Amino acid sequence: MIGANKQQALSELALRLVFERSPDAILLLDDGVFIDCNQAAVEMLCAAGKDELLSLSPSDLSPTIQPDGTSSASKAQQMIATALERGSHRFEWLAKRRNGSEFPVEVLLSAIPFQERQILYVVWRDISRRKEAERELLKSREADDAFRAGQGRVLEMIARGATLSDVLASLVTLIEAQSEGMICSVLQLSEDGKHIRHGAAPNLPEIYVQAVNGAPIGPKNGSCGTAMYRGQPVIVTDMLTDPLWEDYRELAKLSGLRACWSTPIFTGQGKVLGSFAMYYRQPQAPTGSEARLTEVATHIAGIAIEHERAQNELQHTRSELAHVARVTTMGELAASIAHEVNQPLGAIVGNADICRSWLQEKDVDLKQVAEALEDISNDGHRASQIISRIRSLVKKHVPEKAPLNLSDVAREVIGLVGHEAQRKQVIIHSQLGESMPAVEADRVQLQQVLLNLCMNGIEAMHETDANQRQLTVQTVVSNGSVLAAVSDRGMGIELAKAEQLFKPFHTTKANGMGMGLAISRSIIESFGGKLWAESNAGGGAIFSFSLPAGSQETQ
Amino acid sequence: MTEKPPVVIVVDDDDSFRNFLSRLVSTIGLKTVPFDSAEAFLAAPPPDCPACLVLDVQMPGLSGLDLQRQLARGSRPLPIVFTTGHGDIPMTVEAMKAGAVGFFSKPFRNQDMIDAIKEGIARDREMRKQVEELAEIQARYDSLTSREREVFALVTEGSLNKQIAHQLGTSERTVKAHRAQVVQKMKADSVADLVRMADRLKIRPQISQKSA
Repeated sequence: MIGANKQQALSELALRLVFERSPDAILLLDDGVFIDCNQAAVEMLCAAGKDELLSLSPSDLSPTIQPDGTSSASKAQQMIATALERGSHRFEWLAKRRNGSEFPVEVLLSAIPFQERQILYVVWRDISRRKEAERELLKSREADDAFRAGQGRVLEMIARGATLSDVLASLVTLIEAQSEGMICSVLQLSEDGKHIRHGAAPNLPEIYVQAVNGAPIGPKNGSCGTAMYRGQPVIVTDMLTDPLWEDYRELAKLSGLRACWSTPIFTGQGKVLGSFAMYYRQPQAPTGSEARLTEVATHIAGIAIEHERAQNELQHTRSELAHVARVTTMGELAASIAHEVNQPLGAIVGNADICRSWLQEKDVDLKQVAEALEDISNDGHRASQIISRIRSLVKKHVPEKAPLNLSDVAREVIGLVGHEAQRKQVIIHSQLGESMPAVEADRVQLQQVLLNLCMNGIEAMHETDANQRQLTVQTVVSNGSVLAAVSDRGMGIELAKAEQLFKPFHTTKANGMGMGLAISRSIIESFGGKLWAESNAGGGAIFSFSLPAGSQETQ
Repeated sequence: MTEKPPVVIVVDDDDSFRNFLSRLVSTIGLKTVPFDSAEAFLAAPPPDCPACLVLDVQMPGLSGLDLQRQLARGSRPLPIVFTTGHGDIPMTVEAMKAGAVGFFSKPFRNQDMIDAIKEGIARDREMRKQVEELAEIQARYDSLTSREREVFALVTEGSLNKQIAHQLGTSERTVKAHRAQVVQKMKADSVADLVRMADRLKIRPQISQKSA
């Protein structure tokens, strides 16, 4: 018996200890009144003591409203009802300490039958830490996602052909957003591999950016100049003491910069393209967490710069090719050009001769001489205009987009081929739209395309009856596009083979290069347009191109 | 009969060049009639005075060479001096073969052009003289009776009066009378003169054995 009693006593003590020493707050609630609690509950709720806590009503231990918006009182009733119904119920709750501060708890309500009624055994576990950790995790996941999305946006900018400075500025802004107090820059290495060229540094002082642009790279040329020179990262934790910054110390001071860690940017083949740098306004050494940002920044900047250089190269080659084609076309036009220039020259030489003999006479009619001189002068201007028109087509030039009136361009080209058409007994009909919306394109290159189409059309009518040789040049506005069409009455084209015409080195001419249409198409496409060929219903072919109409109207 | 003053007809689509040619032509005291296209020239009445055509080879529409061909087929061919901004050899050969007086690439020496124009006018004057003469001879010939024309043809062929009389079935005396009429009407100085006229008129004797 004694054994049994002792057993019972021990068991009760153990239960008591479990109750008292539990790290979770435990309260007993009997019909809305606290009848007992443990020390953990007193501490968790910052009560003065057990007595105070037991004197409180449950509503004193919660804010009026729970995070989900329901009132604590009604939600508590609901939870209790559930617990009574099911025997127990676990849920999260926002509790309030005696000092008024709120904290999240996980509540376990258990119904205990006692003297024919139900007592609620309430366990509160403080989940502030867990909640905090969850929030942190979520935040870092979101930041991670945002960073990755940011990288995606920068890569998309590259793919969509945004300018290099815009791409790099977005990249720098993205990297800077990942770390407090950090300023970043991307610098390029010049094509000759000797000098620094500005890339992007939206948040570095202007004076600093300007001083660095054009500076040489070398073994002791700040962080970036040295990093590009060495092809290795250069970490300078204090620019005011590091020997690499000796020559640039004043600049650093003036710009308020103290730490600069620079990493070279490479091509896929390991050639240095530039550098990516992180700056701080106080001396600072890398903590290791920046490595990933640097890796992302140099990788994307490398892609952007390489892409830009490839584009430039392509553009350059294209414009060289276009130039060769223009010169070739002008060669074909040589006879007509000579004719056109000799026309005014003939009159100039002749008039000058007449003036000379007049001046040898005794009674010089000065009025007559003045008139002849006036004609000479006008013809001189005319000859010079013809030459400058030709020169603008023959000289090398970097294509530039400008708002153009396609009808004007067509008129200029018709002026150029007018004599050639005459020589070949071709009549040119121009049907040019007035008040055309502007197209964004390069004047010389558009002239080149139209010139090419006109010359092809004239050439195509080589075997057409002389009285049927008609070339029609049209410009119209259609569905938000501006359209130009050159139709001839030549032998026409087989529709199935129309696309062949645009292949490089496709030619039907004895001494043609076969590049004209291929180049013309690439020019039109570079301005966002299309160039195609069709059969002319009245015999012959029609070559047309369309360009997007700008909002600006031209006269 | 006084001759009308000669003119220089300029057909060139280039205004300034036409002006220059007019000025040049005026220095030798001649008048210019300018046209800016071959079509405009063809639409105008032909000149009734000695004339020379200064023609641009390349013009919109009918070209200079086309016009040359067309004039050659017509009743009033004109001497042509060609000008061109840029001539090639085949073009020049074609023009010269078809009887052009000159072919000048712009620019040219004024004196060369003046010489060519003068040459052209001289040729036209000569041609007009011949045409007028022919017209005169034709008019005289038209005034002959049909019997006189027969006598004219046989005389210029070299037949003697007796042969003519036999051939026409008439007396020698009658032939003599006809012959005197022919010489008088044709205002011929000699038989040789008559033969020359027959050549110009391209008259061949019609061998008519029987005659009504």
